[in-house]
Amino acid sequence: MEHFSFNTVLMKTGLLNLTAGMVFMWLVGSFFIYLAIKKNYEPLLLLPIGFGIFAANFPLTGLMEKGGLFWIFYHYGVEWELLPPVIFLGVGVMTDFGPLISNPKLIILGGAAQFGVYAAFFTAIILGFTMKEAASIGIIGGADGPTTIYLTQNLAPHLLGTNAVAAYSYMAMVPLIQPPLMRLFTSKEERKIRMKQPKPVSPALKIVFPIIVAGVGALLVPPSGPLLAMLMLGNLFRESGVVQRLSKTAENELINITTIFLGIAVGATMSADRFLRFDSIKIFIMGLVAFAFSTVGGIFMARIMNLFLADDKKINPLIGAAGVSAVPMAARVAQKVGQEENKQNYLLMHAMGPNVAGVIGTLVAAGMFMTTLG
Amino acid sequence: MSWIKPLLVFVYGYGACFVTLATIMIAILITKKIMGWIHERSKRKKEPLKV
Repeated sequence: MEHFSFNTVLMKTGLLNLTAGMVFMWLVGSFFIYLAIKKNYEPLLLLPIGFGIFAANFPLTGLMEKGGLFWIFYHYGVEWELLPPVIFLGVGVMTDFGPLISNPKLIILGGAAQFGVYAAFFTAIILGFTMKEAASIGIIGGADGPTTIYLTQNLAPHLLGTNAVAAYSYMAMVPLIQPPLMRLFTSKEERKIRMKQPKPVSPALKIVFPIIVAGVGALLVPPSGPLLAMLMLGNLFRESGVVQRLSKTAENELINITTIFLGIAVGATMSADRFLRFDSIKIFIMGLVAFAFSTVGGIFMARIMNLFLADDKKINPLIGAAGVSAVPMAARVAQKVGQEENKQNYLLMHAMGPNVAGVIGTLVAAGMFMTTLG
Repeated sequence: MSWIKPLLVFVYGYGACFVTLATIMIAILITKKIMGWIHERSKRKKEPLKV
């Protein structure tokens, strides 16, 4: 009868095993659920992440112990580096590289906007993080969730939850972070610059593009291969037009299923002992530094390019800010800020060029971190 | 801590961003040229011979 005594049963409930840290993490999880539902901040990711945080911080559930449900999602999905590349397959199907192919010089803005990645990398080192940790924090400035998760898992897995949440939170806040910086670092005249509408791109060129990018990327930065290959495979599905069933699956069911598993797995890594540290606050601050410097890096590169371009080919520097990835929100922000100066100025399609180039730029930056520090 | 390694990570990393993207840009421009040339050539072949 010993096994059925009230005390034994009570000991096997979570009530007597609760810690203050766990209760605090419920609040953290609930906060992200609130942001997703009420503020519509990246709800597809922040909702499962928030619930993952909440559910994983209950005692005795075993969700994140070896063999537990969330552990299985995490182990086979994230540790095996499966889910981020699959997400990229869907992203590839959804991305139109046409504006970039139409005006290839805009691709440089996507590289320049990685400046924030390195600004945050140095800041993190100054604040006492190791180089691997600093690299995983810096990549938050690439404004690319799957890449952040992929690199952090490779270099500093103990920061996975915090980095991922910081990346997705700031991506959702792009419309708040970028406009003041865009106004501060550009003149009224520059914001009024009107650009010629991009020329249409032939379907054949759109088909060749993913093959070129996958080849060049894999050759120059091999560690970026898995993500870049999947991104470009998705884009080839889209542009080839002959595998519509695969395209539809990749951009709907597959990416949705993967997002659920990835969100839960990432959220579940945020246990109280890992998250409730001063380092987490530092990471959130550096994420902001990264986003700010990436925005400024893209703007300044556009201004530098304008020094060498003829008057009728000048670039509106606002589209440089779209180089931070965060597709398509950063491009929409460029359009909005541009229209504040001139209602007739349509920058969206131009901004999409650096915007999608930023995705490739972030992958290269992540790949180089793995090459040099991995 | 030595700052040489972080600086090298920055130089290689940020440099690689530009080199890779510039290579892609050049590859696109070359492909555009080649495709334009093929298109022109096939158009010329289709045109009837003018006497």
